[in-house]
Amino acid sequence: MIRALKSSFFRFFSTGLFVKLLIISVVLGAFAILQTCASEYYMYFVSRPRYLTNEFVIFCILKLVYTMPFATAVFSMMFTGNDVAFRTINNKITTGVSRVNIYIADLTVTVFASLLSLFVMTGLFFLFGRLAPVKSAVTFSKYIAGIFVQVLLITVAFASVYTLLQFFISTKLLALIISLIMIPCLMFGNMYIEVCLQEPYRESYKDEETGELCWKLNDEYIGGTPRKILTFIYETSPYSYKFIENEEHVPQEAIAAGIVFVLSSAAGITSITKKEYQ
Amino acid sequence: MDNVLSTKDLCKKYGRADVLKNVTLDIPSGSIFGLVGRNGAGKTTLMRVITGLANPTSGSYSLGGIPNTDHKILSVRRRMGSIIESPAIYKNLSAYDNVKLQYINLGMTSFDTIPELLELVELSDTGKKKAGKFSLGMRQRLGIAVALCGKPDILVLDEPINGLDPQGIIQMREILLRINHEKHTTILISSHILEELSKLATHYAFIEKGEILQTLSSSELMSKVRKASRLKVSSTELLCPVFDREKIEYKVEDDENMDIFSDITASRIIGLANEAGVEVTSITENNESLEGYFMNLVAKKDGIS
Repeated sequence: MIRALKSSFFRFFSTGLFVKLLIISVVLGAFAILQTCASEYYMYFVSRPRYLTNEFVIFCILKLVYTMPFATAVFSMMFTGNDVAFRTINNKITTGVSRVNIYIADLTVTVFASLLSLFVMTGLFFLFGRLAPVKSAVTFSKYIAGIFVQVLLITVAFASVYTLLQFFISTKLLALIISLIMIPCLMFGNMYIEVCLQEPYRESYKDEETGELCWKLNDEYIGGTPRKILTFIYETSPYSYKFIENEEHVPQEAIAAGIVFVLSSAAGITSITKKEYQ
Repeated sequence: MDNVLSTKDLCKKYGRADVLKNVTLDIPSGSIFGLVGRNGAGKTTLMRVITGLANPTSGSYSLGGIPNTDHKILSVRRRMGSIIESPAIYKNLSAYDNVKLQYINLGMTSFDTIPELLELVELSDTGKKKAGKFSLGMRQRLGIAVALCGKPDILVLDEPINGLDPQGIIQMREILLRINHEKHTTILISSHILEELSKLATHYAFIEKGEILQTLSSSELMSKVRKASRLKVSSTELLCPVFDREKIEYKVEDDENMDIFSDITASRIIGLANEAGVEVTSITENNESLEGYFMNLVAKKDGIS
């Protein structure tokens, strides 16, 4: 395992990926700050007193729900995707590095790199919050920590899914496209679930004979265990924004991210032992 | 001579297609073992199975005496270097870093021998130049360097001279011979360029449609390849009936060239040509090539002989 980890980290640091990741993180972080400043311009820079509050940092971190999957997908393509596409993974297999260890090592580096990027961007938000040319009330709070941890969990879950895709789709660009398509699919899927869950239990109708208002059970209503499952999926989805409501949501998000991480990693580890490389 | 690598009844199927059929081979230690076969004959598949990139459908192989079913095969694989189809190198790393990464893959902690290895493959002067900017020949040599990391007992090279220019082919041949002679590394090599392979190999296996047709040493091959006289004549068509009548074995190349395999003197050839009214322009000794020997083997298998 140590051999595989050393090899993957050496590749991460010596191929220039580390530097590229830092640069992209700073650029994406700055973009999130600019976007937040633009959308909340009046609140922070015009109205008085001109204060930057924790809300500013939270708005910025929330933008990472969209940014992090994108950044992780691209990184996964450049790291795992290149290893598979250039067939350099063969050099490890033929020298007896266990396939499971190869998978775990690449997954570890992808998670590490994604989290590094997340920390850099969040650090940038705090830095701007403290150094911006207005008075600042930005301070580290438990609430921000709760939001941050949830974004972190979502990032880890995405990293595990994207690693799986890059290992098993031999065309890295196709794997990237599928990875990116997953984001709008999740968003629309979540909207659809929301509509399903909003179906009323009963619905009213007017009796044509008596003209009275009557009630009947709604056939479209989803109840029982399916409702519990859909509610869990909806609430833990990165695009439901349910998680901004309170920090008690963290354990629920941790369970969801854990399930995604364990399932995708198990699928990857099981498949890599059987996969035949060209 | 011990065998570094042995396969027994190795089979590989992709769907319903039998790509390898009961392949049984012994690769002697210190040999340069040439694997000869047409495109799609199963050479690359055999190498992929041996190197662990693909799993055999049935049968087995052993590496350094350790069977493929034994968990210890993973540690024995460190004693094997390979290039399958094309060298697997990181294009955004220098030659030094590519080799260093393979040292790490092998669990080696000292990198002192990297310059020596780069010297061996004549890449010591590439500095920080990225492998992506290397010529094809340089990439092939870097692939060899990566395969040589950890001083392997056996090198598995699939078409290592494919696409190289004549100078690159000579350079590669010299490197492989040096590795074999100086480091006593066994080499399993496949190539389409059979004449080039004949300048390297000490042993051969001929493979066709997933089956090993024959294995033999180079000395056995030399004694088997038939001596031929190449005739350049005004008309091969007129000469053939005369040779048929005299039961002389021959092969017509075109209207003017033919090979005679029978032990026959030049004066008799000229006499028979005069009889047929054919002018003989030249007679040259022409040993049957490895290519010719292989084609005859394949033809016999196909029942065309």
